[in-house]
Amino acid sequence: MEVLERVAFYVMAVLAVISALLVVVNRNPVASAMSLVGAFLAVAGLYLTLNATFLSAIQVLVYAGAIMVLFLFVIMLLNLEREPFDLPGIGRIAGFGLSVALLFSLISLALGAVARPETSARGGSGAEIGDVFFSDYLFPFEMASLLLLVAMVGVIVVARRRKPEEEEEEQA
Amino acid sequence: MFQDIALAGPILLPALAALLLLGVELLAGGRRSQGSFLLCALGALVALIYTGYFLANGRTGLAFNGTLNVDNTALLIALIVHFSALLAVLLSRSYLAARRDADAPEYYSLVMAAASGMAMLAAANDLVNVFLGVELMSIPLYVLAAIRRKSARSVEAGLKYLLLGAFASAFLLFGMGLLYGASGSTLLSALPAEIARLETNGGLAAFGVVMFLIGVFFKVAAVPFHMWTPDVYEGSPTPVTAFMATATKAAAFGLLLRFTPVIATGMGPEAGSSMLAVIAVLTMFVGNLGALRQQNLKRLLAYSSIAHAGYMLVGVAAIVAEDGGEIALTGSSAIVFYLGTYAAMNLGAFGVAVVLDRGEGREGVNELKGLCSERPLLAAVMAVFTLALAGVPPTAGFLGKLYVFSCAVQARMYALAVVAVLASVVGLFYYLRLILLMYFTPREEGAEPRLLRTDSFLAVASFVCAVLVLWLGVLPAWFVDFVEATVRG
Repeated sequence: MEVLERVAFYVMAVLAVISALLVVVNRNPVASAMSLVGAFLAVAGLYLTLNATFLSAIQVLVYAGAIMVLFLFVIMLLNLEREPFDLPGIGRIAGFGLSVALLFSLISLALGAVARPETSARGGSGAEIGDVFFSDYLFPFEMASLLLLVAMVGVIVVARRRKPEEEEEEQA
Repeated sequence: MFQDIALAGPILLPALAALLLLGVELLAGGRRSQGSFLLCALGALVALIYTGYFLANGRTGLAFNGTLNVDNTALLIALIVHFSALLAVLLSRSYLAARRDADAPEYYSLVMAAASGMAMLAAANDLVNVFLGVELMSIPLYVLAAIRRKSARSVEAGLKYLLLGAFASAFLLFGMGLLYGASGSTLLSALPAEIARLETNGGLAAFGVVMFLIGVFFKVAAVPFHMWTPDVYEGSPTPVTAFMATATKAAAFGLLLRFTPVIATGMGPEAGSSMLAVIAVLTMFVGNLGALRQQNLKRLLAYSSIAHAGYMLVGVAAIVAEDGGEIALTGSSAIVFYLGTYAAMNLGAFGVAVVLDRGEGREGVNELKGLCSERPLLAAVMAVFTLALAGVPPTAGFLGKLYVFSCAVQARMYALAVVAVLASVVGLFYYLRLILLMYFTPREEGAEPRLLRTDSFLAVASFVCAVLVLWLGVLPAWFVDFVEATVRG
């Protein structure tokens, strides 16, 4: 069982890293988006190895499903042209170097004993998450609904089209 | 349960007002009515009184299983936030009346939602609440910055704020993830002990603290994360700028004060305080030097707000250096005092900017020329705010600086205190330039007549600010005692 778990973890982890790399490397935006779907699915698999079944299902439904479909719609509607390949400038090389350095220092730090999150031991099923949401995290849970409402109102305020008479009033 | 809800009142009341405003608009329908303005002002006033009542009666405590810590500092910060919200709303009426391209009910509703998020940020004791508070504060502000959709500058401000804000949120979240990984807890109050217990992860916690701080520095506009500030402050509607400059700073510094023990354990008091000191020095100088050559009043005030964030970071650096003990209390009360006085003087200065506003990109400082001979009262009020921002006695601005800088001395950071004083001397130049323009420079021949846009609400708001700035400057004892006593609990 231990071995199987490890194998599953490494397969998912390698898949996640490879598809994340493909997102950046691909020159075709649609291919990039599809690789991102792959990365999301692999991460969903990682959640499964942590016993977080609910999170894993949500990851597939919301990220790999809904959000990526939206992404693809936008890419296709914008009708992006392929960017011509430009040589890496100093800024890019510095940025690359910096992120590699950051990555390695983070990896070396994370290889030390990391605190075990409590939920992974208890199992992250829907019931467990619901339990926590409506006891310990009741307040943030409710405030999140306000946040979503505000974001919705905000989008409508910015994007709404005016009625003609209001336009005239503005012109006057 | 009712106890918890009552404690969360400073957060829930503005949220309720935001919801009511949306509902009332549906029922009443009249988009140009005064109803939403009055309802919003009433909501902010009720929240202000409620918070003040809790503060005066010492009704504090943990709420919702410790995810909220409504202590005296949180209540004081919430008081400043609701005060800013109320005054910004009072400034808004004449500003919106002069423009037809902003939707009044949504505007007021978003102001209240942001105030709710800021109060939540000040009381948050859990990383989840911190993140939700930051977003609930920021998302309405992005929209408010861009609410004048016909104005290219306003939309540009909103877009810039949104993109950089999203960037800041990513840093904040990454930092939270690392802190959780290093401690296994999301409770802010439990983080230092847990990090210390799992000492092997010192590096991980330090990384987390730095990432978290980068997110917070974006919000308080500390150098080098200040780039967005001048453009966003200039492009946003002036009352929104006033609200952003005062209330956002108050909420973010409230979070920073609660986060200081985590900085001290995660990075070590030495490293943490030296990093904060470097950022504070950079922020003070970039802000003050940047303001020297500004011709636009709103941009000038934006750079001035950057500099003020630097002054307050001096106090935070002092608190982290000592890590606990007496200075945590004096430092916190000094910063809260500074935030309160800064809110009063900055809201007042922006109020004058609303009065003098000639519209789009023409908020030049030249508008101040010869103001004294034409409108002596307005000029006098503006002079009070300018002197307070410069930190000249007997205004409240002087005392705020004095308290914060003396914290640095108390923490034996003498060099930092000296540099901070030097930076405020640089700041004197551009504040005094404004006063020279008002009192000693005649208005140009053939200049367009002034468009003084004011109403009784704006006048009352400016008057309240001016009285507060002078009163707290001349007779600060009661307020200082009050802040110190409440912060000490």
